[in-house]
Amino acid sequence: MPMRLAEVVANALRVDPAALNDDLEFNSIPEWDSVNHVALILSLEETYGLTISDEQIVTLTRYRTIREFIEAHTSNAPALVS
Amino acid sequence: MTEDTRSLRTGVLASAAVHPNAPAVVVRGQILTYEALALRARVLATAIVRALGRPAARVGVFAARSEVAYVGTLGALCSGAAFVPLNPKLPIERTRFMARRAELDAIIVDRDTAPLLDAVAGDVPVLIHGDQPGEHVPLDDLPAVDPDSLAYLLFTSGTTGEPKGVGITHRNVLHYLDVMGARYGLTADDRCSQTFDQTFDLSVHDLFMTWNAGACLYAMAPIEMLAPARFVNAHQLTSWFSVPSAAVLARDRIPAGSMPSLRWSLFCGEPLTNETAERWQAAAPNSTVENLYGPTELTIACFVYRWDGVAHESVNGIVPIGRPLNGLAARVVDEELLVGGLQTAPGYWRDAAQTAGRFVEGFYRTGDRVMEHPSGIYSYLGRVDHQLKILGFRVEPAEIEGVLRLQPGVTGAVAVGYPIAQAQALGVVAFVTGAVESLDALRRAAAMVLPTYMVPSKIVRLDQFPLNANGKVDRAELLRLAAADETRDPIPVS
Repeated sequence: MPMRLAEVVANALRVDPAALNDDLEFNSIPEWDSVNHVALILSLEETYGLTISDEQIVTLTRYRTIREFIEAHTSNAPALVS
Repeated sequence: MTEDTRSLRTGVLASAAVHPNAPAVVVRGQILTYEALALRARVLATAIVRALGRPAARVGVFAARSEVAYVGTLGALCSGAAFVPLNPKLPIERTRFMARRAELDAIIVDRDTAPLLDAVAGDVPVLIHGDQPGEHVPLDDLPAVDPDSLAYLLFTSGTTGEPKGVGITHRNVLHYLDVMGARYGLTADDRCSQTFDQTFDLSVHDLFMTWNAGACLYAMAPIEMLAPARFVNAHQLTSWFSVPSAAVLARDRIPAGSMPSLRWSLFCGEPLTNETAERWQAAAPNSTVENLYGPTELTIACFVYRWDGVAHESVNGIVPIGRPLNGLAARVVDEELLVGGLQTAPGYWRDAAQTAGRFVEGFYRTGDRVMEHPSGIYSYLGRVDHQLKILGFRVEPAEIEGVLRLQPGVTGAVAVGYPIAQAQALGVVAFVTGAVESLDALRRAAAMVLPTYMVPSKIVRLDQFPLNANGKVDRAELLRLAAADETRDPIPVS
């Protein structure tokens, strides 16, 4: 069964999934630093079979943006993603 | 105007006179010309000097990646002062400590830091909004600067549980800029990266190497550093300077030939692996890759090694640190590197005891273990103590341990660098003993006073620390415990 997005993000950032919300962004919490952002991008690529471009890696910096990006780029229904 | 004795500001002001309309810095999409940079700096200098009724001695620049961060730095120098960079990314308590310890005459803030000013200002007499300094004419007759006075004062992690100040004189930094200026030969056509926080002394290289040449500086946001080729190509950068970690984190995003515009690729701040140097060289085939080495106390960098694809003197897969810069002398005593000469700082700020321990007969004891090869090339081997470099930031585990030991119930604390990738620690894991109720609360308490990169990603409670044969805490065993505790690594370690 595919992992829910929240689990993927929480795992990569090493935070409790309950800590995630749409407004959470890069550098807004200590855990979302450069190291974990790279881990997160790799996780997203592996989990959803995507290639994330340089342009996208610098814009996928907010949980909401990531959620919308994954919804738009996968066949998963939003319910599965979120 | 009276003739100005040469100091750190001199080269920038000369560039402004020669290339007034050239871009000096591009930050957040805004272009600041040399004329605007110099004019705004002189206006800030007037505001500071008038309010004080005298030239300033030390001015805090509490700003990051904004026009004010750059204008304020030059403005501080034009007011006769040393600049003291303050970083909004650090916990406010740490910044307040630095502002107080530095005995600032003034603090300059930008829009983002203005709301934090009350929390850090204490009894600093002059507080200036860098974007709106008031109606002032630009300062024309700049206060004279003694070449042996401080050009900047920075704080690094300290072993006594609090940050320690390192003051660098104009004479120190001008020597560095002269030697490296000749080495790199930048011109007004160059476009240079600015990756370092201004609280990191390598940023002084960025600003003043670039400005002395009349070239343009491109301030990068932290997120942009994860895709360096994108930024390099967008701005056709010719010179790159960062910590090796930046190249490690971006390793999958710098394919061969992806950064053809670069002429210079410089790395400093932590060990550079052969693999990282090779990968970057392939990505920037028209550039010369150099490994710089040096602690803050020796003014930005004091050794340099030119990578030519085969590092014969490489030890442990690490690129050598090369040879001392012209005019500097190196000694090795019991494997420890000591460096003396024109770049050796006068000592620690207001701390005679620590100064006496590290600055000996004109030499600074680096605490770095090195070996000198018959070729005269030096290689870095490790530390004589437990100091870590995390993403290039200097971290004394003792400072983290000191903060943890102050928390209720904690009887002992030891911090180790973990995880390790490409010979570098990416973070810190701490072990504590004592009756600790909540490890989470302990971690939050540490985050109140320590910069993010020093906050342990995990704190583990032990009944007692493992000891080695000498009866000391066995840090290697703690590293094994940290690894055993992990189920996976955050980024692939190859």
